[in-house]
Amino acid sequence: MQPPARSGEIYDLGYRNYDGPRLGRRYAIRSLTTLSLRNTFGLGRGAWPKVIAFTLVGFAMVPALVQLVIGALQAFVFDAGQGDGYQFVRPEEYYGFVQVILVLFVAAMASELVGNDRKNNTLPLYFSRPIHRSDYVLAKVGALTLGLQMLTLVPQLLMFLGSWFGASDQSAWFADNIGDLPAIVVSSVLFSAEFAAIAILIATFANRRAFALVSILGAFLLTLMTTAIVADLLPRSAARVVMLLSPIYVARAVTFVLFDAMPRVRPIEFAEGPGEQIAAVELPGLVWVAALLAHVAIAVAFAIRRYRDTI
Amino acid sequence: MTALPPPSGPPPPVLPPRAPATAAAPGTPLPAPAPAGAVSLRGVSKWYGDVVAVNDVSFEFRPGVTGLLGPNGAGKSTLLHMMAGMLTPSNGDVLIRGEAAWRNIEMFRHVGLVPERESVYPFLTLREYVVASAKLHELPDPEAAAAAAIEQVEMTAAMGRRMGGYSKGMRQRAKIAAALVHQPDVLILDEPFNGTDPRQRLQLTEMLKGLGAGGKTIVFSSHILEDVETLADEVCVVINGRLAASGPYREIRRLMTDRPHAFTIRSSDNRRVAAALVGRPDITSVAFTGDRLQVQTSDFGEFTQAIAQVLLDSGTDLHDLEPADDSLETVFSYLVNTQRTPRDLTPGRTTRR
Amino acid sequence: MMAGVTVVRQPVVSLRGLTKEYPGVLALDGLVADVPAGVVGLIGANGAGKSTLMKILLGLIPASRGEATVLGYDPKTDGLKIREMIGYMPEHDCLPTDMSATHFVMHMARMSGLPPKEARERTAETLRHVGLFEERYRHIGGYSTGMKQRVKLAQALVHDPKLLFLDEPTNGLDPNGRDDMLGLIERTGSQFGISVIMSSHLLGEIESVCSALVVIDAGQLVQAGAIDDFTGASGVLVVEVDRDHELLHQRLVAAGLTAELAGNDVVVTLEGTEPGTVQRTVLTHVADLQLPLVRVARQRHTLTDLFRTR
Repeated sequence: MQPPARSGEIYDLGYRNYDGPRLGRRYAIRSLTTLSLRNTFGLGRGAWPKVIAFTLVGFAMVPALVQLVIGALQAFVFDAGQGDGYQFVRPEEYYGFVQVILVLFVAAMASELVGNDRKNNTLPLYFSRPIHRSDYVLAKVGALTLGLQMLTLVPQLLMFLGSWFGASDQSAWFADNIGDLPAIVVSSVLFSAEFAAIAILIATFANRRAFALVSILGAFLLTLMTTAIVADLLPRSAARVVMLLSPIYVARAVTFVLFDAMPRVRPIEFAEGPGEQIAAVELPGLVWVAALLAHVAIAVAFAIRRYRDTI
Repeated sequence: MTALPPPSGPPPPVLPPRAPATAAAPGTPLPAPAPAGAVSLRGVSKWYGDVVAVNDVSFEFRPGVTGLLGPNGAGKSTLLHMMAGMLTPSNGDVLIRGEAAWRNIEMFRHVGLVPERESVYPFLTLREYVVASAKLHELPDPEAAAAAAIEQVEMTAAMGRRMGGYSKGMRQRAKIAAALVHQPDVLILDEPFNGTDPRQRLQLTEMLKGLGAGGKTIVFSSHILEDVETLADEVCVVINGRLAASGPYREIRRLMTDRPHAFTIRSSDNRRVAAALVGRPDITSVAFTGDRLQVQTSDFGEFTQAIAQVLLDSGTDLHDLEPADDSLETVFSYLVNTQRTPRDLTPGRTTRR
Repeated sequence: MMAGVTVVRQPVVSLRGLTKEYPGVLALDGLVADVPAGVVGLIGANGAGKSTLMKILLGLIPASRGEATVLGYDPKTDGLKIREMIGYMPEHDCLPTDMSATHFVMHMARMSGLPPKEARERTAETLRHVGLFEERYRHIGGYSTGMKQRVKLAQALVHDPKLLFLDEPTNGLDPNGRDDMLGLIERTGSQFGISVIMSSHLLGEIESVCSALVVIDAGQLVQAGAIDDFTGASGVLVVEVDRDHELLHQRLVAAGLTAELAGNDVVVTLEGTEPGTVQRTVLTHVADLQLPLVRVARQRHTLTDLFRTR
């Protein structure tokens, strides 16, 4: 028996309305964050942003790689116990090493994130969509903060693994050092947020990439240097204020607080390096944390204000 | 030195005073010398390295308004700047009142150019600006000349204000005043309607029409058909640097004989009219759309000669008879599309890059 | 063929005394208008307040006084909801140069709330409707003006808005490109069932595509109404013959018609005559004189007349 004959059909390819789900602001913020995160590493852009981003990530990974190699040597080459507990870089010191790389990174990439939309005049297309202006800024700052984890959190986790691997008594080492992990995570996020928020704020003012780069470098490094010089010379209350205004000082202080590893208190004239200067002014830990959160909040608020008149 | 592209045939014939139109027709003799007061282009080409911006253009511009029409990048701006003496042709001659335009200081007395980009100084008042222009032309009485020019563009009321606060339309008129202050015979405007709103457009059109009627030779460029249609007495269509057609656009349409002409008829009984027409050999198609009868004819002359009688004989009442494709738009698309035919790529000829 | 589309009879935008003041500048002055569904033209001088109006309607800035409704919602309180239902195509360049059209429109779709799978499908469909084919996978930086305009329109359409704001959509396009875009706009209004508010300086465009019109000048409403109200036939008949029009003129006057010469045309007054008699008289004399007849038509008002009388 024959199957019934098929009839011909012409399918309607005309415009169709959309009745499907419309997800809200949070989904939009997530989408923008994802795209911006890719842009942070130069994906979806030209060659240069990629080169810069990955080079800087490479530098930031150096301590981690060293620690991993040492761990491997300890595990396979050295005798048991030899060099045990050796840490190439202690967690709380890690930021002293990586802070300059972070500054270079945000200086180079902040204007990628924020400048392109301004330069191409794409902002009206964003702001005519169901999001708030604050959502846009939060997504950008969030994306940069997340991206910076590649230079802060990930290397530190790798170092942790490296040390753990190389320890002669791994479970003991783990029990001793597990306490560091929360501090590692929180400090990475806060440190990155401080850098991301301020860099993005500056990038919204500087329309050309070169200006943004120079301004961001200045904001972080110049304040670092002047604070270092000036803190020694001022009375304590003034020194405190100056330090509370410097992004790097505040960020470093918070890491000391989180790792409970504030350097020894000495009179400030004898303090060597920002770490000891921070200890010298003897501010309670909470003050530093509050200062960092205030920096981030104020930077984000002003960045949102920058977009007030756009469309 | 770059190899010169071969000229693509002798230039089109020169126009006798304003009557017929020409589509680029090969095989005609070189033009006769031009009378004074005209801008003449004789075989003008302009190239930049391999890029040929203007390719062998010949035309005589006469008093009245001529519109240069063409797609973006067709070479209109280059042509206008050569006519104003700002650029030298790579080949051919640009003559103003019979004399070469390039580097001829005297010639600048007779030409005013209104360039496209913003070029007014925001900190000057209009009066200052036009007086400065008058002084640059070494006019004997700059103040009076400036006042007259400002009057001509109807900006006397605003002339004391700084130009930074002017609207786009006012800035256009300011530039025109500066270009008119030395009473040139020729006024050249590059895309004067860009970015103007309807009212500014109307005012500018009226003003340029007035100047053209007063005997000046006005040449302006545009890529917006509407503006050219309303303002220009004649059009020059420029495509890829070549002059594709020139003359009143309706005349050019009549010359497009390899295309049928379309007419729209509305009557009390379209089918009766259609029946009367369909038997005629010059009718190529008949179609009904809504209350209109669309007719296409291969012979414009035959059709127009006969239609009045046909309509009377059909016994219907006529509401409208209109040429359906009598617009600059039709002319333009025809020219743009036909000028892209593959005959330029016959083997053995040098192809353009 | 539109499934499930509600025909909107309410005006898509209503303004009641909408006013916006900046220090020293009155940007909008008590606008009162009802913008109907369909394709509506928005005409205004540069700086007349069109962008301010749009920002207020999108809920991006507050009005100083007065009320507005967009698709039934109040921009003051429901800005987000409104922006969900609106598509905006700006006048200026606004596309990133280093993304492909597909990638960009998909991103915009997601920013409008479409989940990833639906965003991908709608993007592909919308790009097809605006006429972008293989080029959609290339970077936008290499596109022509016409292609870029299509991408701009696509990102405004991808989330199926109910109302489109198009700001000078044919800017920078040559005549063919302009035709294509206008055709697309016309289809959007008629076939896609989406209302369009289109601003333009070119009255011919507005006449050909729009069914209604709003004119704003210096923050005030000047005119609003159906296009047909402004482009009706006048009481004058235009006759064009290919030669000897003076002769025709003489004949018609002698036959008792009120006629004048206007350039190459003969213009005959229709007022006070029986319908059809004038045309018959004209045809008779044209045939008698054996003149080639090109046009016999009632002169229509054009939008330009609106600006002429002011």
